Amino acid sequence: MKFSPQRAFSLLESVVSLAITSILMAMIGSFALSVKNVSSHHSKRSELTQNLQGIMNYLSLDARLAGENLAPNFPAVLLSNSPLGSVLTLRRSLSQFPLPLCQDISAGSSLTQILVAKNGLTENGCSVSANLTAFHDWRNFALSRGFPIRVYLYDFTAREGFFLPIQGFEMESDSLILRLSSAHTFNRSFQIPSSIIYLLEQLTIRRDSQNRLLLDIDNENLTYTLGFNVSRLSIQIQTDSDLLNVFTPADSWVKIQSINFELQSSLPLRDQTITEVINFGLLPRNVLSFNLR
Amino acid sequence: MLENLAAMLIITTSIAFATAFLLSAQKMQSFAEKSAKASLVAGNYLESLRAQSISSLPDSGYLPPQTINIGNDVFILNVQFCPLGSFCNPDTRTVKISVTSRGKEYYQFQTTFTSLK
Repeated sequence: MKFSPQRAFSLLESVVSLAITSILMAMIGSFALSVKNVSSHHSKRSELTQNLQGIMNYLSLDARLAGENLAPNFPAVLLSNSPLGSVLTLRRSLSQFPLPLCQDISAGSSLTQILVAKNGLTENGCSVSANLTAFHDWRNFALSRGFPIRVYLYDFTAREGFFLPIQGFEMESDSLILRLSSAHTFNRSFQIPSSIIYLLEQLTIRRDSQNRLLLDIDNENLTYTLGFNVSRLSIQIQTDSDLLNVFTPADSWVKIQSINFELQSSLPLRDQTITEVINFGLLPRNVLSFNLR
Repeated sequence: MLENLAAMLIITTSIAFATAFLLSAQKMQSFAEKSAKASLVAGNYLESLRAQSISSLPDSGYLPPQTINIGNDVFILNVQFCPLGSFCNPDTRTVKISVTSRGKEYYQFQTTFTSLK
């Protein structure tokens, strides 16, 4: 029997090639894994950064508008603290003109309407002619927005106020009246000279226990989610002289130089947590109306 | 053996290309992220300038560089008032801002402030 010689891999060649291939596969595998890790790390960080910047852009608009059409002694900016972080309230008047309270309201009284102008009443600027423009302005706002609207009755002496739902505007020959949605019982008194009614936009920025950043639109009784995965919200107010963690109605908002925000956003990634922090300061532009710089 | 060597060469070249591509993508992403943070640093500074009176701002020269941390990144804020040929008078200041990190400039901005009348 005759064997013809054939060309083929020797056992040694096959083993060596297998070894080289295995090493290469291991290298490629480990490279691919590390690329995947780095890429998901980067993608999570970008997600966090975009989340924080989106929140910042939204807050910038509202913080800069705070105090619009409001008096220096009206509390346009409030800052308090809760166990979940800072709580910031920003206010602006949606109408250039407030309306006066033209009747005394005693504690415990139940009313279905409020007098905002009456001829012959000189106190608090209560004449009809002085308030007609504001009255029409408010009524047009309500007609465009739809009833009821919520107005803010504020006592400058006690520095307290609250929202009232308004269902209609009534003009009589010698008076202007806001009709309430239903009979309202007042738990404190309001006196004519110190009480003013505002068409107010009130926004409250806070964090909840599910790490959401929430925006309460108090004048409309609505809450929006501004962002997710916000693990910390810290706000401070820089005035001409102090850096404050709390800003009360007794503090003058026209002295604000900056509302400083620190937002931290975190996301879990396998066995670690990725965290991004953003710091920014915003100046409510309306302070410039009182302090020309 | 020759086939193996050829295969190794091809795979190594591919890996090298893939690595270069991924590194460059990562570098671009990192640059974009740092640029966004640098613009935030500049924005914060401009916002703080708005709260100051124009006359209290310098009318020439540089401010001492400020170091600002955002997350893990360290930025240097360089501010120049009234650069050569810019618009400056008692009620007006031109400000040029440059934000760098590790010697590399990520953001540059120039604007003019004027007092409210």
